Amino acid sequence: MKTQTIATARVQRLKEAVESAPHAVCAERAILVTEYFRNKEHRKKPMPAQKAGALAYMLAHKELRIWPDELIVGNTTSKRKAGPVFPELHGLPMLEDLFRFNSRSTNPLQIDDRERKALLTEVAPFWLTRFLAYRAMSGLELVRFTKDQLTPKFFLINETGGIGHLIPDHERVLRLGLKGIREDIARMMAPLPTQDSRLQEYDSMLTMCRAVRDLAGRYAEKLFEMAKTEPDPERSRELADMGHNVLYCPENPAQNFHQAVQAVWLVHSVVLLEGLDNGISFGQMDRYLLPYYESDLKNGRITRERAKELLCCLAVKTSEVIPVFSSKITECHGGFLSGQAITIGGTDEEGNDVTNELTMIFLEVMDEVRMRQPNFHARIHKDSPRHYLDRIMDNLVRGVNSPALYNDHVIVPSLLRAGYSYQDAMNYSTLGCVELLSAGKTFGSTDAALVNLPICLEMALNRGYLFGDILRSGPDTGDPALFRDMNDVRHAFLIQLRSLMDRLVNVLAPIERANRDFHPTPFTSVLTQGCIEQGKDVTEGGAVYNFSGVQGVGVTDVGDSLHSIAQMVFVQKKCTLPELVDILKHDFENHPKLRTALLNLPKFGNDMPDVDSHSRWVLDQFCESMEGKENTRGGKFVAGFYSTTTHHSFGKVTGATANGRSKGQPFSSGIAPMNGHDLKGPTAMFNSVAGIGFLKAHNGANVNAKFDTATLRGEHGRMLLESLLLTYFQKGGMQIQLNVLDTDMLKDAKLHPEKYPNLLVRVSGYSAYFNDLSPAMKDEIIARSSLTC
Amino acid sequence: MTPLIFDIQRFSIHDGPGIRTALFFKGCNLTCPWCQNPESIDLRPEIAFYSERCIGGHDCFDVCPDNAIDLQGVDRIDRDLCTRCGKCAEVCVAGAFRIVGREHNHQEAMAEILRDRDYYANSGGGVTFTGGEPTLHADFILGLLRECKEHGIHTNIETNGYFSWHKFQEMLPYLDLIYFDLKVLDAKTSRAMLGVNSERIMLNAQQLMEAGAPVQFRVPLIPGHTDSKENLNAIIALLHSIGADSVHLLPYHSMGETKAKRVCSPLPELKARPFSTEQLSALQEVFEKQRIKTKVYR
Repeated sequence: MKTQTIATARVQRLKEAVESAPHAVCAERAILVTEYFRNKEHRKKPMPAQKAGALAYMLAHKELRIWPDELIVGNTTSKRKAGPVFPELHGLPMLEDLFRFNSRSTNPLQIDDRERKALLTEVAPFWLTRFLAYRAMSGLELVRFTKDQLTPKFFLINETGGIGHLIPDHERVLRLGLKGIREDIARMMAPLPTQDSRLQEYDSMLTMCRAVRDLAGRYAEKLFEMAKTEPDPERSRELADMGHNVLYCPENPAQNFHQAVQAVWLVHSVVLLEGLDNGISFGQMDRYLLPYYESDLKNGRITRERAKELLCCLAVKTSEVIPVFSSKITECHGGFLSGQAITIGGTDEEGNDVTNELTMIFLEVMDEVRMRQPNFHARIHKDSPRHYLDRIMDNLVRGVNSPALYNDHVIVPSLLRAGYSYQDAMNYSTLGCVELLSAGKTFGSTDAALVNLPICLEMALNRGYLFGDILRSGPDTGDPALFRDMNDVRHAFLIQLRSLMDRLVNVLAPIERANRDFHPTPFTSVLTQGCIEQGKDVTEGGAVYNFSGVQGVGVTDVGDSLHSIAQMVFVQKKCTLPELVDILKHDFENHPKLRTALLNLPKFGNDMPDVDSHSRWVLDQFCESMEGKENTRGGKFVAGFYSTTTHHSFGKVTGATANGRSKGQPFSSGIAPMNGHDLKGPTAMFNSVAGIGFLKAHNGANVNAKFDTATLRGEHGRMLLESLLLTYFQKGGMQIQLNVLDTDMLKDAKLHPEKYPNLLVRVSGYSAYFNDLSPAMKDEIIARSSLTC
Repeated sequence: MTPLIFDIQRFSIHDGPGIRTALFFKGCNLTCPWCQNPESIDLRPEIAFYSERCIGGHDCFDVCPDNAIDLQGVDRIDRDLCTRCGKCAEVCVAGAFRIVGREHNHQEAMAEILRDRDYYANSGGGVTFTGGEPTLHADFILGLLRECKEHGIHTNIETNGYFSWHKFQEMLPYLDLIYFDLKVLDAKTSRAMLGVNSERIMLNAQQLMEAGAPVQFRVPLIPGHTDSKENLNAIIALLHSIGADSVHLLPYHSMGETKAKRVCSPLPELKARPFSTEQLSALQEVFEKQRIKTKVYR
């Protein structure tokens, strides 16, 4: 098996520079956008023209940064590692942290005084009555919304921050160039009468195409200047080459690999600044870059190593991107989540395997770069070739923790069911954390909202009230004393869930309309098929596919709670339902024993069909609750199952649950079993998870498994891991993210056992759960882990 | 009689090839002082106490018919009084008491085995019968073996070699692998340390080789017990004489100690230190030099 490859010195320097740079807030975008909109003349134009004008103004005036050693240029902010501020969207509410960005404990961000002052005196006052949520809702509605979303209880709405979450049609830009796309647009415009409303959208699309061309020109100019003054002749030549590349493409079709990679990054960086800098992904890069790599290779213009270095440069740049969130939002989406995914492997639209040399290069890139971003996602299907699987497993057993794996045999049928054509389902791409869509065709708002499911059960058990509330939050679903059996409990839960979903859709609608009316994204529309053809913005429903993705959080908490109620109240009859509800209301006060008894009932994740069936039902009902609902772009609502860190934030505001979870404690992440309660090892856990049924989870689902390096050591470990993961896929698993823990993580696991409940480690000839070991044994395993890597 | 199984370990990846399910049968006919599964020795069920799970209730105290619960005692159970009725484990909501050893009938055991059959198929794994000494329950295991073979499941048994040949022979056609432990071969030492006559073990080893059975010999390396030059040479001589050319070495580790405390095992604490890497290589050398291939379990 191929051993680990090592990044070139250049890549290592780039990586170090980005890693050592402080996380910062960059006010540049906010200041430039505000400058533009302050001009009343600008505000008289139609909205798409305003937005295009503002973005073009920004691109024309932003500071260009070309860092030492770079081969791929394009900075989203004026700093090395920073997030831009979107004052017209969620940026204004985020500024509540203006005086504590530096000092806050989770994800602190640097901001200097000059920028703080500008944000405070120039930016904030102007947008106070103009930001998106303000425009979406009127007085009382806005107050209620703001109050609710400051500490989200029932659901967390992400769309007030814009929509983002898409994959630009890079393939088309590389093939036609912006020039060719402008010609397409001009052709569509030609027959239209002058008063046709579509012309506004087309005009702004053209503005954007030209603005990006001009931005590329600015980079080229700067590169040529730098080349002149660069003392090192080799770097000077490099800079000049880079200048020629960026000047030529994206304006013209890419002529070589370097141009193609450069153009993808430049386009990506502009999309990040336009809509929302979250979930902007790259699609099947190993596929659309291949022609350029092959032709360069054939003509002796590139080596494999050089191609890899270029891709490493691009990968490092994705880690320069961070989102600016307030402390409150950081609680829900912690860890500088920006969700830039690259998809590799899988099939083309006819189902033929697409794995190629670039796929293999990408597997080396993730090994060599090993940074927070991008997210690498590998598609797996029955014809995935041996060397591809081998290299994936090799990465995983060595603790690269990348790629995450996606099962085509579950995902393709799910996408077909969601309404994708056969071709578009077959060559799907992944996005963000776990989402699934068609690159360049879907405007999926995959992260529209996350829903707190356990709170629906709380209301179901308490006639629509939250525990301790005097105002009703959901419909009256009847006195639990009159519930005769589990059907009555489930029925009450369903009514609460459906009512909450209706409420969610009603809240989302004005926000989606506000995105359409006040935050159209013409450049994103240029890069999304369907928009040019229809003369419609993506926010208006111009894309070929339109969805809104809503995540269900706490599926297994509800499932296990239903199992507990069934056992305690209706089977073992240890207490009545009103008694149990009363105990939950008081957070097990004076009933620690009952809590322990509830905790010790079997939970989801142990391959016990009668227990797991409850979670399966919850998942299914959540998916069903979205059927028939339509978003304002004419698309369906689709269900997903990942929680980012909302299982903590939702948990905090939810009362005690019948699975034994105390008030305020976190829920399970994604669709994971309750922490520390899957006791039968990974095969049992995988059987439970695979059995939950992912067909209707069109938006994707997240599953994590953790091992230590010694369990999966060497060739044997690789084989075991592969058969474990592929069997999980064979049984219906949709996705898996594997973490093999290194020494530092094991040390952390010793300090914080609650964070690593299911960590399986190899002791000596056998494996055990890390938390079951004595402190001395834990130390031994930590010591050993530093030797075996 | 249905034998007791004290653990069913799924995703067991060290008891034979691939991903396996290991069934641990209770009861052993040897008395190895280094036993790593002290809860496996007694044929009867055992009550294990997990102090870290105890939430300080006293249902155990209230329900114990033998007055064997000592709420102040570190080990909670007075083993002299305890009759292992298991009532404490039944009432403890915290799960601080666990009954070690549960009856599984054939159907139940088979159902557990079948749950991971797809993992076996994809990894070249299967089921491993271990213990304790599984051959004490040869009739029961024979039934499981037959059915495993009907499902095409790979089978392995781990034995200390002290079994009745006649009984073992019945299982042979259904066994794909036999892990056969060689511990102490000198007759006197064996009788004193393990409590059995080593000659029977050696004879069984020979008969298995003669029958062409798929046997893999293993040697637990226990400092001060099995690692003497004489013992290792005796093992090598046996391997040569019966025509075996490889051995798996199982070095001592200290995990068994915490387990022993939970069931208050009568075994005295083994004050041994695990081997260093250098020591292990030297032991490996002893075999390799005499043309016995080795594989060390780590």
